[in-house]
Formats: sequence, C-alpha cells, structure tokens
Amino acid sequence: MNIIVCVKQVLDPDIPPAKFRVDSASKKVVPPEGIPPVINPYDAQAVELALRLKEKHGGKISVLTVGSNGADKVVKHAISMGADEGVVLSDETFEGSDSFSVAYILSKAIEKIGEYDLVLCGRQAADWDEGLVGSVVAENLGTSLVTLAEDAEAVDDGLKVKRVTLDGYQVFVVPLPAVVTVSNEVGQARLPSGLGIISAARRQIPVWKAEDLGVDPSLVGSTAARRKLFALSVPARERKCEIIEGETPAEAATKLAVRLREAGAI
Amino acid sequence: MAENKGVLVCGEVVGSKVAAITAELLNAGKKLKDELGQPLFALLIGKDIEEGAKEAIILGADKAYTIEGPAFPDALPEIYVSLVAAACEKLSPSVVIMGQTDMGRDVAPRLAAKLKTTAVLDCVALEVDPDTKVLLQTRPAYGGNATAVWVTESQPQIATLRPRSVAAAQPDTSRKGEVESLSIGIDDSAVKGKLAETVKAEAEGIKLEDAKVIVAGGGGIGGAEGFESLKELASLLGGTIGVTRVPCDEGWLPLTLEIGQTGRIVAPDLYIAVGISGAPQHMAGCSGSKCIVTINKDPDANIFKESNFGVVADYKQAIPAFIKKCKELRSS
Amino acid sequence: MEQEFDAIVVGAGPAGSACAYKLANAGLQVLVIDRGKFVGAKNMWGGAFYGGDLLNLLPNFCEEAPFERYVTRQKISFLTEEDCLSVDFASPKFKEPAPHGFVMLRSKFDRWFADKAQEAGAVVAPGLGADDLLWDGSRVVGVKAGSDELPASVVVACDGANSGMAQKAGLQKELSSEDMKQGVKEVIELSEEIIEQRFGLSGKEGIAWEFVGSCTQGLPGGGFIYTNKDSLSVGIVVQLDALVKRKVQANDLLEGFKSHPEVARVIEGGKLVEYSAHLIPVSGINMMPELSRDGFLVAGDAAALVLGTGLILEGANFAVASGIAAAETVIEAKERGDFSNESLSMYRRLLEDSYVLKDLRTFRKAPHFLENPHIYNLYPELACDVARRVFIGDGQPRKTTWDNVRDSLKGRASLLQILPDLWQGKGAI
Ligand SMILES: Cc1cc2nc3c(=O)[nH]c(=O)nc-3n(C[C@H](O)[C@H](O)[C@H](O)COP(=O)(O)OP(=O)(O)OC[C@H]3O[C@@H](n4cnc5c(N)ncnc54)[C@H](O)[C@@H]3O)c2cc1C
Ligand SMILES: Cc1cc2nc3c(=O)[nH]c(=O)nc-3n(C[C@H](O)[C@H](O)[C@H](O)COP(=O)(O)OP(=O)(O)OC[C@H]3O[C@@H](n4cnc5c(N)ncnc54)[C@H](O)[C@@H]3O)c2cc1C
Ligand SMILES: Nc1ncnc2c1ncn2[C@@H]1O[C@H](COP(=O)(O)O)[C@@H](O)[C@H]1O
Repeated sequence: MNIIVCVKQVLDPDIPPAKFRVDSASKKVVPPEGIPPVINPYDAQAVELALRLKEKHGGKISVLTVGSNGADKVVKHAISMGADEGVVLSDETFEGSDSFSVAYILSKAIEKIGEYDLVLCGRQAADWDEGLVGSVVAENLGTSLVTLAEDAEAVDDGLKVKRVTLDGYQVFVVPLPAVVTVSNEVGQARLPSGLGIISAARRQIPVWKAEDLGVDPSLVGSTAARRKLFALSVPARERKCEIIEGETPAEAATKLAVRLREAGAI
Repeated sequence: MAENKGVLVCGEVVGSKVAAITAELLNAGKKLKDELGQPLFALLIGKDIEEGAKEAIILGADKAYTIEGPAFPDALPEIYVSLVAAACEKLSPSVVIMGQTDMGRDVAPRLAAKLKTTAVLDCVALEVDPDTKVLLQTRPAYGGNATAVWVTESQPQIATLRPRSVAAAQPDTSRKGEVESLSIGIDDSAVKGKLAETVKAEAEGIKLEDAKVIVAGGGGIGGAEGFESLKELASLLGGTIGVTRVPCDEGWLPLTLEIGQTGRIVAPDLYIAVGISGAPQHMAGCSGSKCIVTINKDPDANIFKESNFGVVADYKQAIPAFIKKCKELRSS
Repeated sequence: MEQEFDAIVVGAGPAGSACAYKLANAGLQVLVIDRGKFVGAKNMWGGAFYGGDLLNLLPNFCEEAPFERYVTRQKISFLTEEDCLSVDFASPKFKEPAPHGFVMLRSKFDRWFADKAQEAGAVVAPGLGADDLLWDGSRVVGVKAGSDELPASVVVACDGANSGMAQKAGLQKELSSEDMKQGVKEVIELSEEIIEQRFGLSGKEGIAWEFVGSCTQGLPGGGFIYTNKDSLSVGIVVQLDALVKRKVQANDLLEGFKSHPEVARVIEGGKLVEYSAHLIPVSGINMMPELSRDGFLVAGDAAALVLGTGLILEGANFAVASGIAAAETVIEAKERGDFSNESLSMYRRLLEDSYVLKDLRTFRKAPHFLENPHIYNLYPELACDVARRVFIGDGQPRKTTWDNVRDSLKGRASLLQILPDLWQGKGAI
C-alpha cells in the first residue's frame, strides 16, 4: 500500500503557557525564542499509523509538507520514524495560504506523485486546531474520506477504518484511494530510532515550487484566503487562587473541606 | 447566485425529537437573526421528523425544513453532506451553523469544500459585526493558549458551535411557522464507502458532561490504584471522575474520560484537580467550571493560576483527610 | 550502517559543536549526537562567553551569531543582607579590537552553533543519547545509542559535567559533590528599554555582574546577573556538598538573592519565563581525568576544563578551545591512520601549550582557597561595613578609612585570622 502522509510544522504545543505570546496588533503568534517548532503531534501519529499499515501490508510511505525555511525538519522527523521519502512544498506565493489553499497545494503534489492508495492527515494541526485540510484534500481528489480514525486495516474491498465518536466508535469500509484523518486515539507515535535519525539527518529533502506543481498562483497566498483573522488574543483565564495552608498536608486538606463548605461548593 | 440570506441551523435529531445541541444552535441563531435582520431556518434530516420540525419552530425557527433520509450517526457522511449541500444551494443562507459534534466536525469541512467556502469549527461565540454585518466567529486556538476571531469572506459563512457554549433556547408554544419537506433525491454517485458498524459505549454512572462535580486526576496520581481514592471522593460528592491525557497514555484509565481540547469539554459546578499541572490543552476542557480546586505538590504548577482554591500537598496525604472531613461535614 | 564515521562527537554543547565544525571543515565524516530533544534543549549557563576562540573559528561570528549583547561592563558586588558594595569596571578594551565577551542564551546559541557544524558537513542528530561505548578489546570503536550500535574511528566525549562517556571509558570516576557546584538560574523578561535604563546601557552594550556574600548565605559560591536583549539571566552557583550539608535548596538561595534590595530593584516588574539548573565541575585540574585512550578523547566540562576562581567562572571558552584541539588531533590521527592513545596524546600537548591548561594550573589552588567561608560571609560584611562607616555620616567626627577597617573588624575577626587568607589568596586567585 502506497501511503502519503501530510505533515505540518507547528509551534511546540508543549511550551509552558508563560512563554506563549501573541502580538495582537499584527494578529500573530510570537514564537518563543530558543524553542524550535516541531512536527504536529497528530501528524506524527498519522506517520505512526502509516508505518503500522506498511508493516502489515508493505508499500511505501511518502511525506509532504507545505512550509517555508526549516520545514524539512518535519519531513526528516517522519523519515527518522521510518517513512521512506518526503518533499517540502514551498514557494513565496504560498505565504499566508488558508486551509483551502494548503489543501489545494497538497492535492497538486499528491497528483504529481500519482501512485497512492491512501492519504493520511492529522485530525487537526496543533497550532490553529482547525481540522479542515484533510477533508478538503479528499474533496479535491474526489476520493472517499474518513475523519478521526483510531485504527485502519486493508481489507478486500478497500480500507476498514475505525472512527472515534464521542461515545464510542464507528467502522467504515471505504474504497481506495482514500483520505483518512488520524486522531490521537491511535496511540503514541514511536520515537525515531538512532539509525533513523542519522539517515534522516543525512538526507537532502527536495523542494517543489509552485511551477513544479502546476499551482495556479491566484488560488494560493493571503489574497486567495477565504477567511481573515479579525482578532487574536490570549484569553484571560486567571482566577484568584486562595491557597489553604496547614501544618501538615492532612490539616490543609481538612481546612480546605471546611472552606469549601463555607463557600457553598460542597 | 442570488444574495445569500438567512441563518440556517443544521440541527440534529434523536429519534423524532431535536437533540440538545439543536436547541442551543437555535438560541445562538435567534441572536444572529436579530443582529442580521434575516430569518432563522432550521434543517433537520431524518425519518419521521415532523414533530422535531415543529419543536424547532417552537424553539425559535421561522421556518423548518426537513429532508427524509437516514439521520446521523447512521447516515453515511457523504450522503448527509450532499443533502445539506443541496439544501444550502436551494436556500442560499448567509450563515450555516452546526454543532461541534460527531456530525458537525465531520460534515462542516466537507460541506465547506463542496460549497467552495470555508468553515470555522469549534466556535465558542458567534456574533455579527454591527458595521459590516459579517459573522465574527470566536474560537480557541493553539491548544487553548489563544483566542482567535475569524471572519469568512465567502458565502455561506459556515461555523460549528461547541456544545454548551450557549444556553438552550426556551420553548415558546405560541410560535407558529411553516414546515417544508424538501424533496432532495439521494445522489448515489456520491456514495463511496459503507458504514459497517456504530458502537455506543454506554458510560457507567454519570456522564462527564452532565456531572455537577468532577474529581479529575492527572499524571501526579502515579498509577491506576491512586484513582481509587479519587473515585471514593467523587461518589461521596455525587460526582464522577475525569482525567488528563497522561493517565490515558499510561493506560491507567480509558481515553473516554479524558478532559481537554481533544477530550471532553466540561463545566461542572466544582472541579477538583488532583496531580494536574494545568497544561492549556487540559484547561481548555475545564476552564468553564464554576469553581476549580487544586491539590498539587508543586506550588509553581500553572494550574494554581487558574484555580479558586488550592492546597500545596501530596495528594496521598491530602485526599484521605479531605474525604474524612467531607464525611464529617455531611453528617453534621 | 551506510558508512562508518571518522568521528562521533557525543554532546552538542560548545565543546562538541566546535569540535564537529572543525572536523567537518577538514572534510572528515562526523556525527554529532545529543540527547536533548533539540540541540540546546536542556543546556544552560550564566551567560557570558569570553575569549577569541570562537571569533577565530567563525570569522562572521559578530554578524551572524545570536548573541544578546556584548559584555561592555563587568561589575562585582559584595552583599550583606541589606547592603551592596560594588566595583564596576568598564574599558574601551572590552570592545577593541574585537568584543571580548558576549552574553548569550544557550538554547539559541547551541542551536546556531550546531547548525554551523551541520552546514560544514557534519551530521547532527539531536534526540539521540549515547548509552555506552563500543569496544574492540581495549579500543573504543563507537557508541551505543538505544538499540543501535554506531561505529567510528574515534569518539570525542563532549557530554558535559559528570560525563557518562568518560566514566564508561574508565577515565573518570563518578564525581563527588565536593567537585561540583550547583547552578540555578531564572530568565526574567523585561523590555529592552527598561533594561537599558536600569543598567545604563545602549545598543548592544551589556553587563556581566557577579555577586559574593549573603546571596549564598555564607556557602561557597556566588550570584550573577547578565543582561540579555530583553531579559535578565539571574542565578546563583553554590558548592554542592555545602548545600547538602547545610540542607538548603539552591532554589531558596536564589529566592533570597532575588529579594536583596539591589537585585529586586533591577528585576522589578519582570516576568519569569524560564528556570533551569545544572552542575559545574569546579575542582579544576585537580579533578581532570586522563584526556584520551585508544579511539577516545574527552573535551569541555566532560574533562572538567572549567575555571572557577570565585570571581571568574568560565567553562564555555575552555570547552570550545578543547573541542578545537581535539579536532586538530583527530584530523592528524586520520592522516596517519592511527587512532591509538599514543597518536591521540597530541591532544594533551595542544592543551598544555594553550591557555586552557596554563590557566587551570595557574589557579590550581583556587578551589581549595575558595572553600574558605570567610570569603562568603566575613569579607562582604567587612567591606560593606567599612563602606557604611565611610559614607554614612552619623554626626560623629569622621575617622580615617584604616581606622574604620579596624573598627569593623572588632568583634568579627582579628587581623591574625585574616592574614593567612590573604597569603593563600595571593597564590590561588
Ligand atoms: C496537541 C495536544 C493535545 C492535547 N490534548 C489534551 C487534552 O485534551 N487533555 C489533556 O488533559 N491533555 C492534553 N494534552 C496533553 C497536555 O499538553 C499535557 O501534557 C497534559 O495535560 C499533562 O497532564 P498532567 O497535568 O496530568 O501531567 P503532568 O504535566 O505530568 O503534571 C503532573 C502534576 O502532578 C503533580 N504531582 C506529582 N505528584 C504529585 C502528588 N503525589 N501529589 C500531588 N501532586 C502531584 C506535579 O507537580 C505536576 O504538576 C495535549 C497535548 C497536545 C500536544
Ligand atoms: C549556572 C552556570 C553558569 C555558567 N556561567 C558561565 C559563564 O558565564 N561563562 C562561561 O564561559 N561558562 C559558564 N558556565 C560553564 C559553561 O556552561 C560550561 O563550561 C560549558 O557549557 C561546557 O560546555 P560543554 O560543551 O563541555 O558541555 P555542555 O554545555 O554541558 O554540553 C554537553 C552536551 O552533551 C549532551 N549530552 C550529555 N550526555 C549525553 C549523552 N550521553 N549522549 C548524548 N549527548 C549527551 C548534553 O545534552 C549537552 O548538550 C556556567 C555554567 C553554569 C551551570
Ligand atoms: N502546511 C501543511 N503541510 C502539510 N500538511 C498540512 C499542512 N497544514 C495542514 N496539514 C495537514 O492537515 C491536517 C489538518 O490541519 P488543519 O486543517 O490545519 O487543522 C494536519 O494534521 C496535516 O496532516
């Protein structure tokens, strides 16, 4: 089974909240200095699912990312996990693209690669937390789609996919080629092996530009975006915390119960 | 295309009645209707949903449309999407809202792609900009670290609304409105796969979303056994337990109890967080709680900043004493 | 393995990156591994890099490197609970002909430096920790990382203080707490304008400020403040065994330091954005391991090449210098096709000839001298007391400074107690 995984580079979602900063005037997130961006965790999990499928059914895994300088790092991360190859899709005209343009660029690259059975995306990118791109790629390619997968396996008539729902799951059987978006329920992504890291570090990751992809420049970039950011802020969630003290933890906890009773909370 | 007009609520039904989210969407829709000065429509897809359609009108819709077909979750998403898309083409609404539910989060992106517009998912507030009359769609981003407000520049403006972010609309039985059944044929060519199975895992006891009290444990609990005392406390207070991502990853408790951005969004009266550091992705799921109480041994843990009461202690010593005192207070 | 490496450098701190950069530039196949999630992830220091090694190695350093500010002023302060007596030194020599020191943040600098090594052709692999060495008889032939065996002609251990690699190679015993200082540091964010205003700086000017006295509650060590571009690095460094004996936490000392009026004033309104802790080997040449064996070299903190005289705490420049010397050694060994201990002994000679071992020898006695508690309680108090007497008029007739010193000493110590300190100090620092 030939699998294409779409991976995005995002601000490390594990940064401490104190380091998260936005510039409300320019409506941009200010990346904290010294903390490099990472592969979107859900995309690492998509790579994980791809590797499991490959282990079972054979085939090749290619990764794609739309990004600028340094985006080869996420492709390399996927390769160090075990993906076979990858491409960075980068062009000045791509700057400021919205989900639909990104999906369009990815679709063009997927068509260029041509032979594929399955496209995997993360359920959402951990920066804007949208969850749009995968569905739009499926629409563009005209393939079947299952969102929020927690497991998948090849069957005679295509792919059997388990989709997470709020209170359980659904099982779909879809014909290939298909697009599947992967949820965190697939389990933790494997850590890259040493040799994987080294072979990835040695790779030169090819870059495909707009003209290599046949991308229509009027359909990408900020001018083509179907939506605009109106405001961006850091929510004020702070509460005034009353710390209950005591000689011992037990005493403090006892006082807490009393205080909560007073406050009518219990 | 004619000018888009109207706020279309894509409701959900349970059997022949509207689901709770539908009442919330109608309430949000009523506000948008007033702000926009455009009518409010409801769209329901399912079998025998006449009654649900009337309910939608009582809850505020000016007109309810029904389409005879399989309801979510038994419907194939692609069929459902093609029905909603056909309805949108017919009605040309300027705003389409759905719930951020199993249905909405699957259907909205596909619908947006079909209609060549965009969608803003998981909104927690929707309002109309009084000057431009465009929809301001507020949603968390960056794992809850940021709040983004989006405007859509194409039509219709599609948004999904997070459950419980607005109150349910109050029924007004005096309201009258037309119910129209749209005859939209199912386009078989849209059908790609098949739905083999839908499994609902019945939650034991109180559902997290309905609980008035939640005792939540995190990585600090250290193992499955540690949760026994939390369960005891929860049942004592008439609540239930929840967890952060860590206990799920570690396999101590099932993912269905995870609270947070990718888990459940809860807003109980009392949220007792034990051994939880307060990562934004977790707080995104519980910051709506009325009162947050934290027990954590690290005084610098971020969660204290977002709590009303806190004790800096090892939970192993604190929880038993807390339970004991609660019992005393209850019996007195 | 596609191909064996000439050298594997363990650790991408200043020592490792300098070594790898130099090796890659000479066309050798180099692999650098670092156990951090990314290069620089967990690394920290006070903040100032001294010496010209980096400028020689990387001629575009001043234009390209992500440093925060130049060190244009050095300040030393003696603290008591309330008072502060300072020596503030500024000189045009700090800038001419080239800046003599740079204030840097490790996470940025380490990443930049490793990228330079990568550009030069080294394979840099973060996220990969060496767990053990590979052996062929008594010869080191590579490292083990997880389940992977990575062969190489030579392994250069640049894995920092308490080096696991030097221990595995049998060159170093596990270090004891007497040989270590504990450093803890906070990065406190303030606007550029406020920093410049509070410290009287402009442009890229910066200050390196050391403290001795009450900040360590009399324990051997000191405090520091370095000005970054829009933050301050504030921390203390304390002898580890003293902490253990006194049962105090370095954290608590840091809190105390931050609440000293002189410190509180400059950090006021700042936002804590980072906290980190690290060990520093400080026994100097007395604890230096053997520096090589067959197929193996040790550089930087791993070889305990740190100069801690009390007033000076430098290690990064020694790390770079030793990393370069190790690289030069490996380059020649490769030419000879001989990675035996004998061939690699050139490394020690290079270090002996450079300031690295010369400085460490010069200050050989410093570690012992610096254990003297007088330095951390008595002298700062004396100094401040004298200053208080000199500067604060109390309506009484003034005395000469010498009389003031004598008065200050009364009840604290006798001259006889102090003289040996002076004598020792003369030879040690
Ligand atoms: C894309 C993404 C999505 C995510 N989505 C979610 C989500 O939906 N929900 C979620 O919860 N997380 C989510 N996470 C993970 C989240 O970022 C945090 O890693 C997680 O919430 C941390 O869980 P924790 O606070 O339980 O554990 P930790 O961060 O490990 O904190 C444990 C805490 O317990 C305290 N402690 C330890 N021992 C004791 C003791 N004996 N007594 C008292 N206190 C003690 C410690 O001081 C510490 O503060 C997501 C992460 C990513 C990257
Ligand atoms: C609080 C403090 C203040 C200081 N102030 C100054 C100062 O102002 N000026 C100055 O010059 N020096 C200062 N120093 C000293 C200076 O930081 C060190 O001397 C210098 O960093 C040593 O460089 P290194 O490359 O040898 O080791 P390190 O910088 O410690 O780097 C070691 C690297 O090896 C990696 N590593 C460790 N083990 C393994 C393994 N098994 N496998 C793979 N990778 C591994 C680590 O992740 C790390 O990246 C200070 C130190 C401290 C703690
Ligand atoms: N720039 C991008 N490059 C590659 N894949 C992307 C990009 N943006 C989004 N994706 C994919 O689409 C998924 C959902 O992203 P989003 O719709 O932005 O939340 C991600 O998990 C990725 O798999």
